[in-house]
Amino acid sequence: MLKRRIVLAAPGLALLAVLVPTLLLADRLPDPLASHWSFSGEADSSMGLTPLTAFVAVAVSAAWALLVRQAVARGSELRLTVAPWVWGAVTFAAGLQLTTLAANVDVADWRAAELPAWALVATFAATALAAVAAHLLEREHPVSLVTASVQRPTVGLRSGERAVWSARVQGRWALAGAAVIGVGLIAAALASGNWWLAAIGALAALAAATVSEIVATVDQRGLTIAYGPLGWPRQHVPLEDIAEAEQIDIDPWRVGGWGVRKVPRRPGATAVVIRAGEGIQVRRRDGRDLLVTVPDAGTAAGLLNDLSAR
Amino acid sequence: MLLRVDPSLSVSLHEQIADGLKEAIAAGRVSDGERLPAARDLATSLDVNVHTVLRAYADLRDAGLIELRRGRGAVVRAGDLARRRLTVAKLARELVAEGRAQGISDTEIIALVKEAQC
Repeated sequence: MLKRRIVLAAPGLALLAVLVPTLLLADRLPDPLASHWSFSGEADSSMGLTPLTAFVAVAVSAAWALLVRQAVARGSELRLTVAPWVWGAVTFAAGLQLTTLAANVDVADWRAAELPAWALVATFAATALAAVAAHLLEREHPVSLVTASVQRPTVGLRSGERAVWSARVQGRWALAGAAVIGVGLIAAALASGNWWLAAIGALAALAAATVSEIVATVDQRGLTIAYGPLGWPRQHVPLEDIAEAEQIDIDPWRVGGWGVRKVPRRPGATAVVIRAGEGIQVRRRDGRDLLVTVPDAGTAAGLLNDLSAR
Repeated sequence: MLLRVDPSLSVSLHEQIADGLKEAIAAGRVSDGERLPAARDLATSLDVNVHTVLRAYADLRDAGLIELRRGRGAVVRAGDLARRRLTVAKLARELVAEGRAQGISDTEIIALVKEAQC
């Protein structure tokens, strides 16, 4: 229990570790502060101390809230899979603020501030160490309480019977996120007259919209995933390529995030993550796995197994 | 939503599709406002004629369970009451089928239902 308390309390301590030196050093800092340096090491952009501190404090608090939210949702038994990410992000944000303080302290004008290289290196190292530490503290907790999922589920399809399973999966935030990113970048482009920014904004919005919604279909042809509100593009796994399907629990923090992605540490495995929770894992005959978040996953996996057994 | 049809059964394919959809709606496996698969896609999946699926969709529309609109496809419009009615309707069909299997006439089944109401 002590370890869990440390995991949950640490971002708060990091916040203190940032705010206390900021308050103590406030009198010895120029206003504004150097906040960005060019590759040659010259300060090229500045920011007020209050906005900078507020930005870091909000970022740390948001990450902390994410951690607390998962702790509430998963309870004390299950692992906080978000912990390494949160610890890393919090340490990185705190490190950046402390680096900025170190660079600006006792400097009369922000243009004269020099970026201490060691502080940046230390920030990166601390970020990695924090992520590893959070993982080690949480390692004793199981990722999922579902230990033995049903071996090779079935829907009991009779010979001669035909069947189709389909489900629409909508991500709660992806479409809103797509709109915000797209509108934000396009507005920024209009304001600055930079059309590349508008193009990037449109592409980012399109990419987010594509994974905001999928329709998964299992039938005699195999598994088909139609992406986005338009149902295009489509991804198809032919039935004859499928060796086995099973129901699993998909945690975006363990498979590398939301969207369509390669699963870290599992060569050949791809995950289609629209939301957290129930999903199917389809093993192809060539050993490559495809993970898809879908509701009623036991039925989908069962039908795939029954059809591929024919 | 799982839909199964068996061509070897005496029940026609469009009825099997409509029954399967009704069951999915009654059980809440498809929610109000959800779009059903396009008739053409469903026909390909089940290896039936597209008109068979359209006929099943028309049945559901006539039963007030879905809305058919050009371009939008079939959208489920089944409120809580319609769902509960479907659940009871399924039991009623089972009751009639069981009664017939036991050699009890439909009139007698109705009399039994009235008796049960007392």
